[in-house]
Amino acid sequence: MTEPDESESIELELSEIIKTLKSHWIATGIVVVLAVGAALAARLTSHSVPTGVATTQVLVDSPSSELANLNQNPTPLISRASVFAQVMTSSTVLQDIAKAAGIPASQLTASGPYSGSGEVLDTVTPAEARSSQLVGEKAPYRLTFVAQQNEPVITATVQGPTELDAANVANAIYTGTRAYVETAQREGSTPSEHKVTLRQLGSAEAAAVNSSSRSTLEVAAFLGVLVIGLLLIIAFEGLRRRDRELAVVQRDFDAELDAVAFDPRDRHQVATAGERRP
Amino acid sequence: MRSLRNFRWRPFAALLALAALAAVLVGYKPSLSPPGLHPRGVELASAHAQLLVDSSESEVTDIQQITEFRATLAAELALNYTLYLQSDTATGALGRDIGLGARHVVASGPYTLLLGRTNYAPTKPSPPQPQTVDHSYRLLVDVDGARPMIDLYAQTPTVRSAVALVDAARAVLQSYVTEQQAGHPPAGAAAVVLRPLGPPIAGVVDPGVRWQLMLFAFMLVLLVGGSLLWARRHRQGRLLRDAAATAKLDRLDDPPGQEEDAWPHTKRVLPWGLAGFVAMLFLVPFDAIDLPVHLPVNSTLDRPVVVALAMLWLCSLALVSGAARPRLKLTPVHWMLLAFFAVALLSLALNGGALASMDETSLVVKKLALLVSYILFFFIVASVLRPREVPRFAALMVGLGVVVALGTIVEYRFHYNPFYELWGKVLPVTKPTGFDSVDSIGRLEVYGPTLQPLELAAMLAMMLPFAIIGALDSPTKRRRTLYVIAVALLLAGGVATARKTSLVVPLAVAVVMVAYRPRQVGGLVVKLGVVLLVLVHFAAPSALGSVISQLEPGHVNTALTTTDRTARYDAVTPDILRHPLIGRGYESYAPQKYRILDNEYLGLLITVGLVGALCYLGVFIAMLAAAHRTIRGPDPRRAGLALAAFATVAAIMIASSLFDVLSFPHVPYLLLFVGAMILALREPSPATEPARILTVRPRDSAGPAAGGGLDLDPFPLAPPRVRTSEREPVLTG
Repeated sequence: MTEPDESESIELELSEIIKTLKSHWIATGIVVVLAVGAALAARLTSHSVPTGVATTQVLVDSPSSELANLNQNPTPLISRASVFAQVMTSSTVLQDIAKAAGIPASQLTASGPYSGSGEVLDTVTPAEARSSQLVGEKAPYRLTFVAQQNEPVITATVQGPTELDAANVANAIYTGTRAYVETAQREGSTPSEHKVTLRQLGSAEAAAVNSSSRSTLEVAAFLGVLVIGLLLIIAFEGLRRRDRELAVVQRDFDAELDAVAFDPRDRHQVATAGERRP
Repeated sequence: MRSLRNFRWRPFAALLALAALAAVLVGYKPSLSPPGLHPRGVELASAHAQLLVDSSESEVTDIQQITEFRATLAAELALNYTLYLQSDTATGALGRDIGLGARHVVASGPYTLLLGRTNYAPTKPSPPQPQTVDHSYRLLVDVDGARPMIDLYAQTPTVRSAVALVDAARAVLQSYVTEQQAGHPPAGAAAVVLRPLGPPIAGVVDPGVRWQLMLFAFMLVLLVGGSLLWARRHRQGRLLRDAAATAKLDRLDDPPGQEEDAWPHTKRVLPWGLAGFVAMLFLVPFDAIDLPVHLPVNSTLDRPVVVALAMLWLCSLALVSGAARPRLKLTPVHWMLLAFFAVALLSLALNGGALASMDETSLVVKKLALLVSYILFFFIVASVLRPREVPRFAALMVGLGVVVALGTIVEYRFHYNPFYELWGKVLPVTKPTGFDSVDSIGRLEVYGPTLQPLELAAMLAMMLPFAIIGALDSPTKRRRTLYVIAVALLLAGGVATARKTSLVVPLAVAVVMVAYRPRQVGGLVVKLGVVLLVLVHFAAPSALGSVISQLEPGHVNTALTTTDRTARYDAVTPDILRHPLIGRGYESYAPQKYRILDNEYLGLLITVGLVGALCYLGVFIAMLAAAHRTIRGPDPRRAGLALAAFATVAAIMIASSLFDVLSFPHVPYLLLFVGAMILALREPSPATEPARILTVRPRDSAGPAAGGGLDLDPFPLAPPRVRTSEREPVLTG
């Protein structure tokens, strides 16, 4: 019986792996090309990585400004700002914001309101609400609204594909929300002295973020495809070797069995195939 | 052509047919009445809409309307409306409105106020519901208790029905309010007005999930079936080969032929480095130590140590020759780890955009860096460790485990954590948030050198099998007694954490070991059971009772720690079905942001999908398969150690369903160390292995035949080949 060769096994040593990859250089080359292709594909599709962020602030005010009027009690305005922050996440306001920004409403998703930087509303989210979050996961523009605790101010943050895009939508938040409020006021015939007045506190401030995300994705795609491809080549070769090795072991064993199963002197069969020794 | 002719088409065709059938059954449900295949409810759609509880003169537009009192009142009304929508009347009406006939929809909420958490009060038996509920149509109604806003979420099989459900919910509520106002007309502007805030936002949660699941089932059946066919075909060959490989192994209790050069009697630096690393795993809260250096990823203490080990290892690979050189041999465990790593990378690459927009890329990169540390550590240990070093490292680990157990008992009894307190004097240690406090069900948080009591319980349970084997197989009575004490201390340290895991995992360990050695292990348990219980009770008074009471039939299903775990299975379904094959990005499901899962398998299903979870399981299976062969081998010493390692791996396989193992580095590092021990036990000792001795020969030597190098005669590579005609005839029968 042939002793199995150490090298002919699925357990390969480093030098054997290198030899295997060299001997299958075409397949190895294809894997490398595929890995480079995956990295390029990751680069081409990385436009979905948002690299811009912008913030803007909106003051919920009365026609005679709270900031300029000592007699104005700010508490109702603070309560109203909190309600507004939630109304701003609704589809009706998002449509107005999208219209003002000149983009389809389906590209926006909103979350909040958060009543403070540490509070997260979406912990222990049940399946139904989580489903809704997942539907909006791929929207290129993500809007977050935070109502300040002691001021009638809503801070809106926008993540967008680029700095400019994010700033554009951030500025549209004020325009869109104001359009929604004005429409509602018209429909409800609100007296002009009672009208809720929104004021944008300066235009949106934008900055670039996620600068390294794109290269991270390219490296991940390249390495992922490369490792899987090389593993497949080596595993295939290892299995092929093992198949061959086991076939040799089996053949030798059968030959040995044949030799001992027959009496060589009178050639009488003394054991059948079914009676092979273990 | 010849190989094609020899190919066995019939079993392959049968396998293909079986795989196709499995795929179809995963995607569709066959029925006789009406006859045909009906799609299974794996597709989910979602819709979300909002309602503002307002007055006729809108508070959003009119400055005069809102007062704090009124806002609070409206918020309370919103809460009442959500509760109304959960009534049988409303759920029945919703079912009718969306075309379910007599079936009701499922309504729940609000979750922001946590009113749905019934597990704070004991559950009372409820009579069977007279109505039929369709659990595929679910409505969640939410209010936050502070704002007059109602959020309506629907989850149904199609987008159309989801939109219909939230629209119907709004309509049902509107008509209820109108009906109430007609019966009891409010004065002036006090009438409530429900304002719908735009159309529902809807979409498919898991596009293409059916085909992905069917593809996965097809490939899985093909892979498993193909492997079984291949294994069946080569069964005899494999047995012969394994027997030949096992026959080459030296017995660990026999003296080696050459100088041993095994740790601790060695000048090789790497085994000493590994011993130092293992000591760090047990004695240092390294995960809580952030070094004051800037690294691209986390700068916890283990990273620079792994990097240093890796540098040393690479130098050894490049510079050292002969038996002292690490032997890098890729086994199925290596394959599965690399495959898992590749899937983790692809999960990041495929979902990069979404992850970046949710600011989760850096988290994934950090977790990938940790995974690289684990894999690198495993590669190093598996290539450095020698069979004769395994029992010594096992003894070292049991000794260190006993030290940890003693420290844990001290922490439990005296509220003093020696690991954090002592290391805090020399290194910047950050204590965990729940340090020396009790959790929500009154258990003291005992940490030892870890970041989580569960991690500590698992770590101590991992050392238990080695202590048990020591108690059974040690040559002297003194050693056996010491190992029995070690078993008691490890158990006591575990129960001092007051976690159910501290009994569940040791129980699993005992079952596995009894399955392999029923007489010996069973006998030990019977003989020493009472002694162990007494020792455990005295070491950690009342801890054992506390853990047992959590496992009693009346408690185990109602404890928050259990109900919270089971509640997650439903809650994470959309996340799993969203990316069923590759997941949303390795370890991107941050517990602080989304949900604490306490289940590694569940976390992996979400983050690396079915393929990644299968690779993770594959790592365990590869380790167990490798250990199984050694357990059945002829060397009792190797078999005993392999059995201990097998039980340890099985313990972590079970513990993976109890907490997120990969997030707590003590356990994965130890698991991979034990995995490498299993692989080392399958190798012959270098001192008895001709292939490695051969490499010791000086380069200029012509070898033994020419009077140089080493004489290999005592180590025949293979039995001499004898021609068939030269063999002696053997009588059979």
